[in-house]
Amino acid sequence: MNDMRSLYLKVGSFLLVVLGLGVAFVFYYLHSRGFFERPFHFSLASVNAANVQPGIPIAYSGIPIGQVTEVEINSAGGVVIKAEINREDARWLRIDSQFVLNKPFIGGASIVVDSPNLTTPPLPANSRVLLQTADPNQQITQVLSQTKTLLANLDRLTAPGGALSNTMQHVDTISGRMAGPYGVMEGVLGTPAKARAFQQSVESTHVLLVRLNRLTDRLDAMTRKTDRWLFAPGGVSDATRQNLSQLHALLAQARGNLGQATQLLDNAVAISANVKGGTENLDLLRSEIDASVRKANDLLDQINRKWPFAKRPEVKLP
Amino acid sequence: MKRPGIAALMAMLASTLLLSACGSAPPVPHWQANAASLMGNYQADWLEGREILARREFALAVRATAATGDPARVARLYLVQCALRRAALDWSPCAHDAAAPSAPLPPQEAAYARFLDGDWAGVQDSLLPPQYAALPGLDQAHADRIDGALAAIADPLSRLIAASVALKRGQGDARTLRLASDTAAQQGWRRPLLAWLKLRLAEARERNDAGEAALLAQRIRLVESSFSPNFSPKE
Repeated sequence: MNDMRSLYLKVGSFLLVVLGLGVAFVFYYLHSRGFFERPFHFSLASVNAANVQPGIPIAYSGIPIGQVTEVEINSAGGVVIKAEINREDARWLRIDSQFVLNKPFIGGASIVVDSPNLTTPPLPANSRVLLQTADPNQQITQVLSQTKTLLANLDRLTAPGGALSNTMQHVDTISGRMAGPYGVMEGVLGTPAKARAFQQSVESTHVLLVRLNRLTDRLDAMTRKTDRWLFAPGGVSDATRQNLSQLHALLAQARGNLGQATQLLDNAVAISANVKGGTENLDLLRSEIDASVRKANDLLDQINRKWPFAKRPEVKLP
Repeated sequence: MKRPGIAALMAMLASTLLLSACGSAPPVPHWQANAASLMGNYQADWLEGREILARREFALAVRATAATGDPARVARLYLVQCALRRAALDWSPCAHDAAAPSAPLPPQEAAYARFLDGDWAGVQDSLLPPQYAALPGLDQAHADRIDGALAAIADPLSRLIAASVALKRGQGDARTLRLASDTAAQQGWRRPLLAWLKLRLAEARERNDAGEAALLAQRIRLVESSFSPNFSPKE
């Protein structure tokens, strides 16, 4: 009987201790979450409550320190936004702090606090401050109005007698010569002979492209073959080696051709330096040549990537 | 129950490793392929005296490499440029810190920069490109052995560079000049060839060797005429 009583006592005290610990834990948890602290309250005045709703965060230096609790309209028709902040974070709010409603294109709105001077007196509790808005839509409106001004200026430029129309007349005199057999280039380069030479060099880049294209096809076929050889027992056979050296020669040829194209480009640069008028047309031509060379480069890259035994290209110190 | 699981895992791991070893290497990034080929072209064009092309190619290579934001890689390009200048007897300071003056060079590049500056004392042989490894050990006391060491360098460009730096260090003699100019002549590298020939001409005049001076002057004229855009062979 006595044994049973002491057992009851033990179980009872154990339950009490566990219960006490549980309560202490809950209190500690609530305390650490700031439940017993009276938050710091203040309100923001604004003309427009768009995008503002209870729960949006108030951030200082990007760290949330509080949130909006209520949005209401006062008797004068103004919007009053009530907010609360952790009491310990209230020291970041100063008399001259700026409160800006930040509404990014993507994501939720937030109120950003900026306190440029932390030596000024702190913001008193329950005070009312002005909420400014940084709305990207407003910026767009500004850009739109700027664009309109720009368009108006352009209108004036292109009007008859305007600066641009005068320029166009000048271009007309050049284009008189552009009607010749070599068109634009004759206009730019002056004589048909020069234009012919240039035309030929442009054509040679096109030929080069066709040749490089054919080369990639051949290389593709060969690489497939080398793959099979590589994985066959015995590894790289003599026949493969011969094919590989042939591939090397082809690659060298492609490089040489590409070098020609680069020189061509250099010629174009030299020409553009000599000719003063009609640079626009020349720019067009140059961009075309640039594109051709780029294509050739791409092809060469492809070849290099498919090349089974390629070393990693690296700049070596000579 | 557990053993087969581990074995299967090991087998999978091993096969994955094997497969990844067999699989093709990741494709070379564009900037790297472009920079490497541009630098190759740059070297050839610069040595052969196509200045405009070379300048353009170097600029493009620097631009391609600068895209990595890595000062060491860009410095490497400037070191190549500096080495080429050395080959043509241009001893102006290197611009390898042009991209980022305060970024320290990696050890290999730093050793190479010191080598190019003729500051060979204490340069670790192992950090230099292998063809130069024998050189830093030869100081002024071994002046007679430098020509042998230079002749032993197989790569003609490296031989020119080493000859130029050795000359700057006061270790060269008439044989160094001849070795270097012959090397440049064999490769058809007009730019270094002109520089070395002119140096030989000055040296021949100093020795009052009129015969050789006249011969060298003719060679110089021949090279110079090949630069002229109006160069036309005699009918």
